Amino acid sequence: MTYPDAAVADFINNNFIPLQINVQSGSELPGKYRVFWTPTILILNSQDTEYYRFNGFLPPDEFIPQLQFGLGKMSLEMQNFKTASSRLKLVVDKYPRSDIAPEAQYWFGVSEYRAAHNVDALLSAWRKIKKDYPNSIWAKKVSYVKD
Amino acid sequence: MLKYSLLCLVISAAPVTTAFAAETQNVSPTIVWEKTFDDAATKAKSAEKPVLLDFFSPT
Repeated sequence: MTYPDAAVADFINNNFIPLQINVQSGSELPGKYRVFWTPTILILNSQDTEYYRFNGFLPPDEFIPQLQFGLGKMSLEMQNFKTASSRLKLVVDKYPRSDIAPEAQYWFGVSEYRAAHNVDALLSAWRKIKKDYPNSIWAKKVSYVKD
Repeated sequence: MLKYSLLCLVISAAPVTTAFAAETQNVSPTIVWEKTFDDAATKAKSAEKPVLLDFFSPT
């Protein structure tokens, strides 16, 4: 199971305030967040704004990268590009074989571009997707970029 | 006599220290889940951390 894993517990305790809701408890939250399947995992700020979600069971070696990626996407949407770049790069560097890594590399390029309108940084990040993750859908999304 | 006493002390203390070490090694972190959004939001604001919300069905 995922939550009893020590690395998962450490990651959650270090980075989040964890909240667990039983969808059969009568809570209004499943309706508010349009939950129709479990598990559904959301990352929210303290004002209840949703920034990231995913569904379904994941083993620890995919679950932790998903959470790290979610933190990166949250920073990106908040336009905190320096933090976003750092968090997204960490996904690729630390979990390069995780399923979320190609998407993290895509958004890392976007974050680098948005931080300083650096086109070269964007293209360099995207070329890395073509090189390292050629079979991913994210490689198709950047397939028009010249090598 | 002194040597014998020290030997007895070491032998008698060994299981205690071994048990303590084993207990220490087996301590793994656990997740303390909040039960309401209001409680989680208050802590999130104070700790400047996001909320991780897990919707689950009892099995």
